[in-house]
Amino acid sequence: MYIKLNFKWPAASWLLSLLIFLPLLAIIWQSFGDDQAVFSHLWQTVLPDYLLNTILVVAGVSTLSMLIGVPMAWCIAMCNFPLRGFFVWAMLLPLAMPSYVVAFVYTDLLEYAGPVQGTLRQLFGWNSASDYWFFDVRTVGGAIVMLTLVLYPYVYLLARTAFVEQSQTLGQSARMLGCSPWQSFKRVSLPLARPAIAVAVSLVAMETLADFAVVHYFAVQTLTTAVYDTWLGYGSLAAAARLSALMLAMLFILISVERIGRSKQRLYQRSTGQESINRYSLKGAKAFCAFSFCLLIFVLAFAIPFISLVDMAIEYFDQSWNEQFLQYSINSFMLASTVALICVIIGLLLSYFKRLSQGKYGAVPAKLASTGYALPGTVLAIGVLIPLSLFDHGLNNVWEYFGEEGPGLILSGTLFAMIAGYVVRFCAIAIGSIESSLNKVTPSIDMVSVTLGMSPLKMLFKVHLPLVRKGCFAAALLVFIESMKELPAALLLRPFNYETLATYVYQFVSDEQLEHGALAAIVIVVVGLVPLIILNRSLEQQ
Amino acid sequence: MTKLVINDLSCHYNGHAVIKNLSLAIESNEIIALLGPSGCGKTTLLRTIAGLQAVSNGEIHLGDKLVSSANFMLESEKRNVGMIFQDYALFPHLTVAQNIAFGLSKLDKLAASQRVNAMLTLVKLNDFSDRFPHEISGGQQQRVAIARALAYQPDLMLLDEPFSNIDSQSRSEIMIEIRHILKTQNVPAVFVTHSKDEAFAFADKLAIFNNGKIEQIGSAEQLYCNPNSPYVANFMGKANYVPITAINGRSVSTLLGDIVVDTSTREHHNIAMLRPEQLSLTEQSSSALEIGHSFFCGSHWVHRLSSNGSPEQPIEVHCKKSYRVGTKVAVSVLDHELVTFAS
Repeated sequence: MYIKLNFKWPAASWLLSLLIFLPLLAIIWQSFGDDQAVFSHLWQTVLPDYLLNTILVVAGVSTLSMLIGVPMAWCIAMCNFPLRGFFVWAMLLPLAMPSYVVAFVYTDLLEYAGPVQGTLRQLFGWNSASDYWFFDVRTVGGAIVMLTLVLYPYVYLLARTAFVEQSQTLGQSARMLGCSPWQSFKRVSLPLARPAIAVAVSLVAMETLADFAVVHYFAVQTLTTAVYDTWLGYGSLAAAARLSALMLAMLFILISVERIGRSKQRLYQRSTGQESINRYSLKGAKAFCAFSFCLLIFVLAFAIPFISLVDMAIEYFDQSWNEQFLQYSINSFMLASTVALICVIIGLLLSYFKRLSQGKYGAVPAKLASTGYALPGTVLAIGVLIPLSLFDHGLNNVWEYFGEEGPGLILSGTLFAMIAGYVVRFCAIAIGSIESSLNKVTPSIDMVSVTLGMSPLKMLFKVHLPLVRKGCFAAALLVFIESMKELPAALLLRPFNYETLATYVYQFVSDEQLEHGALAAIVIVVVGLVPLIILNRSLEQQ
Repeated sequence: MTKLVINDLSCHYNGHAVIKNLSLAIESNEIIALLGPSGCGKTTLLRTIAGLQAVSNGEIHLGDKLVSSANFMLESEKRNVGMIFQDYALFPHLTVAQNIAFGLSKLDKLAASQRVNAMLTLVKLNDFSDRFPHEISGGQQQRVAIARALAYQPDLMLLDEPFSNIDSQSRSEIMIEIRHILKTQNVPAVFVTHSKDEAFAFADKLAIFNNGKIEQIGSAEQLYCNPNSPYVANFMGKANYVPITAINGRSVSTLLGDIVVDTSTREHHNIAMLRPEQLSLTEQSSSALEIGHSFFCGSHWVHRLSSNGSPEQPIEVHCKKSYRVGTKVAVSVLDHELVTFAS
């Protein structure tokens, strides 16, 4: 459709999206800069180990998530067994658990002085650690298990959807051509779900790659902790940028896998999802196995950590319910609301521009601005710091040139950096959400508005905004929640002495005193449950 | 030899009866169409034969083997029945040749590939063997589905609305082709459709479904000319219903005059069913009937008659001649075997 847009629209859209894209460019540019040999020093000493650890953790979490997620998805999608209806959504709950909280709870339970080893000692009459062998949680293996417990739901969710959305006639066809149920799973269902599983596993791998808190807490050195230490320890932005570029390369591979998976998925999942599924009814031992497998994972990944949190929060309520808690809650709330508002405005502008522009490059600004979401929080923080500190130093130099004392780090050392970082990271969510609700508005609505003499701006406010109100609200909510939970970027970008709930909780985790932060952790978990409820409702409506 | 025998079958779905005491038999090399509106139970019947749906009463025999009863259900994979689904259900991750070879895992490689090649030749898709399902047209996908089912050498073929996704231009060609294939391979078939035109073109016999029961079974001509109920009559084509005013001796009297017919079996019948082409028109200025609406539809004219002021169902007449709207006409009944019903 032809709508004449004046110069302001493309100018604003392109400028904004380039600004949001800037951190990524900055990392690539900076990684070629001079880093006083910090990177080569790292490369000759610890970096190979860090790299190996990173690969180990990513591969371990991906494999384990697949081993848990795929069988679980198949059981829940295709079989009837006790409490199946509960497990359908309960298996998603661990997504709301911050990984470092799970890690802390299990360290606490399984350490030498913890209840598990204590009970074992009492039971068998052991006196000291030398009397028996017990595994150590704070290792690469431990990190893999902890991260799997909170990330397997991606595999479960996407694989279950794939199984449910496979056309039922395919399985029936296989049966009619002489396949037993197991053969029909192996020869038809599983190959068809493979692209979806690949997508899910690459998402898990990306999240694992981006994880900072668990590996840092377990003192497992990976690329994310290296980025953090290089910046805070050596103060070398260039070396941090090189490490980040290394992670970007790994990320690029994972994103390619994800893209290929998605394109195949469109071909393989063509059912409308309206046919009812004839689920296998499991009986006896089989039903018991399916039930206890789901229950075990639910207890390990959600029930134990959550109950521990509640227990700690009740016991330490008086110490936790203090001014700091309230202050940091307000900090988090204000920060997340501001970011949500900015992201929605950006999302609205860019997706509206995409809709109205007829040039072939009209979709580019929205795409550029969506790249930040794939970046790990630590990498993104470095990317944001590079241009901001450049600007601050330039500004101070100008002041000093005139013989005055500079204004200081007015961008990189203030809340501005934090908000900028969050906006870059989360505006992809807002763009995606608003774009999909704009797509549901038929183009003839635009044509009618134009023929009735509306300008693009007037049309946005009078026609589209009321129609995509819900999409904007959902976008704001999701950005808000993600901002409440974000940790690594906050740790690197926060101004001196500024805490959010996430950094506050993480502080207690690092200090082995989560009891005092349990209340704050519960707030984060409960906030994280909101999108799961929305997700579950939308799945049920299908 | 009978290939399929269904005895007194009942079937419940979500608590209500979908099939009620149904019986049906199919001879070898016979194609039967299950014809009826959607939701009448015909697809459910197909699924019970395939072993995809349990039965609550009655029996299904394939050949001399019992395959379904109230407390027994042979697994689908052991029935040796082929099925063509409405969406063809081709495996999207396999090529055309791999799809056709899917059911041949018991054969050795050479025999399997020979069978696949024979099937590809049969459905004229030799050049497409390495394509994936999404790379071929709807009609070609349909033929792959047929080839895949036939390669398995089934004793019976089930087809569930197989032509509904094919555009109307190529539909009749494909129906003729697939009927030919089934006949040459000597495979009996049960075919579900809601379109009488498809049933006419594809099947040897038609079974008209109504609410979980077979209303009437027979050849297309039999059902069209001698329906045993207004339901069947309406399903097979346009019908006019004219009240019978009297039955005397060797004729029945109607609004359209007396019709000579064997009256021995029609004692309580009070309605005559007349197909539009069994009537003819003549101009008559004194007639109470006139042309209310008319249009040309290729092979004939369709005229709807209105009698002045009468709100009754208008009589429809098909004939070669055109009349202007408003022309007063008299209707006469052409010589044929009259169908009458008791209402």
